Amino acid sequence: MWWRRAPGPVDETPSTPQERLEELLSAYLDGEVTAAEATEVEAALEADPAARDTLEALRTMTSAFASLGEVRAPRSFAIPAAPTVAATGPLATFRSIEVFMRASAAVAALFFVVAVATPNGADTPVANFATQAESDAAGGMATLQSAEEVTPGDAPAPSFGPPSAEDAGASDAGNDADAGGGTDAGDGATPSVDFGATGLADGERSAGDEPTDDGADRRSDEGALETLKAPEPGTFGGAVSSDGVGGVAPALATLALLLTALSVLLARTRARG
Amino acid sequence: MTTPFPSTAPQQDDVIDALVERARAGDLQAFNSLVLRYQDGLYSLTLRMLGSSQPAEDATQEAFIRAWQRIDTFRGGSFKSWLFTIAANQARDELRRRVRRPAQSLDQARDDPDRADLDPPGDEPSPEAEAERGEMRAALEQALLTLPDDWREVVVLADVHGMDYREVAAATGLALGTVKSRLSRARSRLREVIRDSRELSDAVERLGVRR
Repeated sequence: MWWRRAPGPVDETPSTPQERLEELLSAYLDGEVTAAEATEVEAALEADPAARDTLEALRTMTSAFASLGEVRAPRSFAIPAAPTVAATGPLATFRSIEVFMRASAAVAALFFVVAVATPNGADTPVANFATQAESDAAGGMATLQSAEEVTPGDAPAPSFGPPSAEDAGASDAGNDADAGGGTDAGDGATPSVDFGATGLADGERSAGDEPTDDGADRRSDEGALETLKAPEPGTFGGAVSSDGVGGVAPALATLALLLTALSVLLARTRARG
Repeated sequence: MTTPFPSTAPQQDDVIDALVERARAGDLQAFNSLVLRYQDGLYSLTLRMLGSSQPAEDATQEAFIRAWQRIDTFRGGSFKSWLFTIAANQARDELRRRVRRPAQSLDQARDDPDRADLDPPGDEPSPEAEAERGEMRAALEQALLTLPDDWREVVVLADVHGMDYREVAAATGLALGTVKSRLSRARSRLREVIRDSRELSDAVERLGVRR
């Protein structure tokens, strides 16, 4: 029936009785005929010696082709694990740049968080470096203030300026403030002058409470001072001391965002590629 | 040079099913076990469809990668047929990309060094017999290359790799009736080619009878 015939190239359809018989014989050989077609083929084979020859030739030929079998693959086609796949070619370059970008963004973000989350905690040593450079006598106070400034949300750096000149008291108090800092946590809004007084008071109490620790306290103070003095001018610490958190934090945030955006851009480029 | 055809024993089927399940769960090692099991078959198919080894290697590798990427779309049935379908599509894509070239003559094809690996060793008792059978197989492989690409694909799938019409239809995307008629046409053409060549006639007689 022509209306049931599937559309296709003209040469796919048998155009002569001989072609139709060959197609039936071919399908019969493969066991791909209906019962009616099988009956038709068997009748033809019975009546036509040429049909029998054709079927036999087809059988021999298909057997010969079937004997070709499989060819051994020249190599293994096993799929390497993903990292190995990515380890070659331009993809690897893209990946390594992307990894660098992400790592840089993470480091910048970390610095940003440290700078913002502990405004004066980070700022205090920095501010103290300047104070330290001005006066040797301020050293003990700087230590005291450094310890005190662990307290979150306390006064701005310039208010640390007028330290008391009571060296001995400040020295001990500074060390004791390491332990006292926690107890002072609620004094965040207290002005700096009060810090000094509180620190001294704490220090005096400490000295009174634990006189035997005096020597050790001094050694710790010296260590703390060395630590505070450690950054060289022009180093990262020095740069922060001159600019202050207010200048650095936005720059770090921008850097982190920029690097993240670049790494995302790279990832998308790679995905499209 | 040949590997055994994958066994269809129930025990083997269970092993394959288990590997397929693990592969579907993301186990690359299990998938690679399947790759090693079927890579000779896929490479043979693509080599016969494409006619030379490097494109066949590329198509085979790409087929396995695609299969791995789309393993979750495998809906059961014969995993081998599923792989062959992907490989046939891959080879067909490659054929479409090529500039249509005239069919190779037997002599041209025989001189192609890439065709040398189409001579799989058998279990012949002597090197001479082995060489002779290798030549007969090579002659038959070249005869396949005289067919148009779309006819050759059907013959390779059905006659060389033993797929039934339904599997060939699935692998080629053709209607069952088209597979039937195209295979018949291709076989008729091959019979003519073989009739015209003494060497091919002898090869078919000897290889066909032995089977």
